[in-house]
Amino acid sequence: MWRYVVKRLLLLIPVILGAILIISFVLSLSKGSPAEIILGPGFQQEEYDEYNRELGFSDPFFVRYFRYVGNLVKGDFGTSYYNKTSVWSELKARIPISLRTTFMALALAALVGVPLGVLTAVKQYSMFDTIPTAMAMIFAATPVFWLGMLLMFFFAVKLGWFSVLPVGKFKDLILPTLSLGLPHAARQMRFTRSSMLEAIREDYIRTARAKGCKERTVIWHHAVKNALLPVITVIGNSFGAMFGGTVIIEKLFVVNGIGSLMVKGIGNRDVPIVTGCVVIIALVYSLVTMVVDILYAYIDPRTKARFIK
Amino acid sequence: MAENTANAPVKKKKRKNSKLADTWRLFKKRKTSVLGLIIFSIILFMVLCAPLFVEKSKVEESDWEYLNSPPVAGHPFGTDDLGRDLFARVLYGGRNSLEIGLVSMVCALFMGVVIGSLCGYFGGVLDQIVMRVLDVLKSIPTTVLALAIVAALGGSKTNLILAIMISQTPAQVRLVRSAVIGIAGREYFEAARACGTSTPRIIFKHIVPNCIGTVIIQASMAMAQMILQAASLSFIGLGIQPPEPEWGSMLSGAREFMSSAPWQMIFPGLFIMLSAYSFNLIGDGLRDALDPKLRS
Repeated sequence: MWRYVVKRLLLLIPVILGAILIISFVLSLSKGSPAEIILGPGFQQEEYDEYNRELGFSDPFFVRYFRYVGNLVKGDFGTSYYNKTSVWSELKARIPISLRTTFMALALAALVGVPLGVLTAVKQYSMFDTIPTAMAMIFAATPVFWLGMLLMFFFAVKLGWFSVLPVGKFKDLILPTLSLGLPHAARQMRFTRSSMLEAIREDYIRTARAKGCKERTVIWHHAVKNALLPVITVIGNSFGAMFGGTVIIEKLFVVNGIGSLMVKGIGNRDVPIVTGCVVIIALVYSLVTMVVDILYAYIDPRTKARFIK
Repeated sequence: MAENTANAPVKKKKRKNSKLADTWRLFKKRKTSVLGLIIFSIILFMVLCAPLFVEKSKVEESDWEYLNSPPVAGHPFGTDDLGRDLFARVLYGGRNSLEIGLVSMVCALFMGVVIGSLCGYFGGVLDQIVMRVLDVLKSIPTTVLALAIVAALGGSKTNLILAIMISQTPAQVRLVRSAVIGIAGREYFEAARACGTSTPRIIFKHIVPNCIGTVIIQASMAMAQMILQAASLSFIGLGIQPPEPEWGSMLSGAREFMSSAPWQMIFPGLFIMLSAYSFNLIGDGLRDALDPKLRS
């Protein structure tokens, strides 16, 4: 087992290096050099060139890439173009905020989606199936920011249960969590339902029924256990989508997380900030995917047997 | 009674002749999918035939007597802060939203089919390289990748399409690749090779017809995702630039007037939701109709 964990940890390194390469390349396509962004207009071309040389921007792309990676290993994410602060100091304060929203939304999605998925599959074609399924179809198609706006309108503007301009209290996290979590709860439910329906039709379920197991034992001990295995992977994947979704939700609810930092960085054409945000998002997402894969290997005896030797 | 039993086999024979008719028959069985098709047809009709309902000039024309007006006669969806008719903006904005979704879906799917089938069929070094690149891309959430691409290239319709296409391609490649690998393991595939069938013939006669269903189902689901993503990027202000209307950017503008003019945020959001909803329903119906595993 430990060999598998170490192997997965080592695999993270090329993935993160690749992610930095891709994102640096994409952002290097943007118009304007750092000097033009930092100094603003009204300078001679020579002055821009001079400043770019000082920043090391005139070096070839790969030289800059390896320098960035070298600094990153030392924990240096570079310096913001816009307000000259270190990118890490900006990121440090915001990572927990975004993580908290994402994990709360993930918990909501899993706690609502998975049990409903099991219920709808067990009661297929009944009222307990059709109504949640129809609701899930609608929620899965709702844009997170529109759901956020509607929730904000009803609960903050009309009913006044929440403040429109959040100050960072726990209560202020409820609406962002709901708007991020509900569409994913719908996806979670749809996936659990189909996985569960597949499991119910398996031979071992027929065997369990034939040998006289109680219906409850058949469902909870035989079907659910098997059906939830693939669901774990899907929950892990939706973490990434939700973490990316915070970019939009944080802008809507004025939350000071990584997402709003990234949008602000894009507005200011602040390349180090944007790169730093993407690197952190990619790193956290890869770590979560890794943990989910290890968990899967640990829970599923078939996979476990393959790696434990 | 006797007539019925006599007719039945004839009918069955007729159906067998056309795969398309067969698909339609199975698709039709699912009422919600037909609903999806109807919803999408209505939206498409309203958006494409927008001039039938309202003149194009209304999109940017300000009606100074009606600023932030609720729905009234003449302005069925109300007006925005500049007195522009929201009905016209939703309809003509839909052209942008749907075009972005459709074009990026077709492009991403095309890339997915080409790269995915090459990797799945030939395997080897090419497959290894592509899979490693996809592993790396998988670590960046699609919204974030698309955001970074539009941020670097600048906000415009073409760049938005490009960004969504690039960020969605990896998922399509994976899907087509695994479908092709699945087919390559079947007996009929080995039989075809054993008979000495040429590679192009195997690809076009055996592989393409067998994974086309997967691709079509995926296309309709992906379309829903891409409409939502295009709207999100425009919402942040990185898509279509104002005054050009687009559903996502209209919502972004409506946010400011949430307490004084809430109707501004209803219709653009409703149109985004209904478009994505209809594609999900259509996708479910297509799955029932095209996936042989689900047939009983």
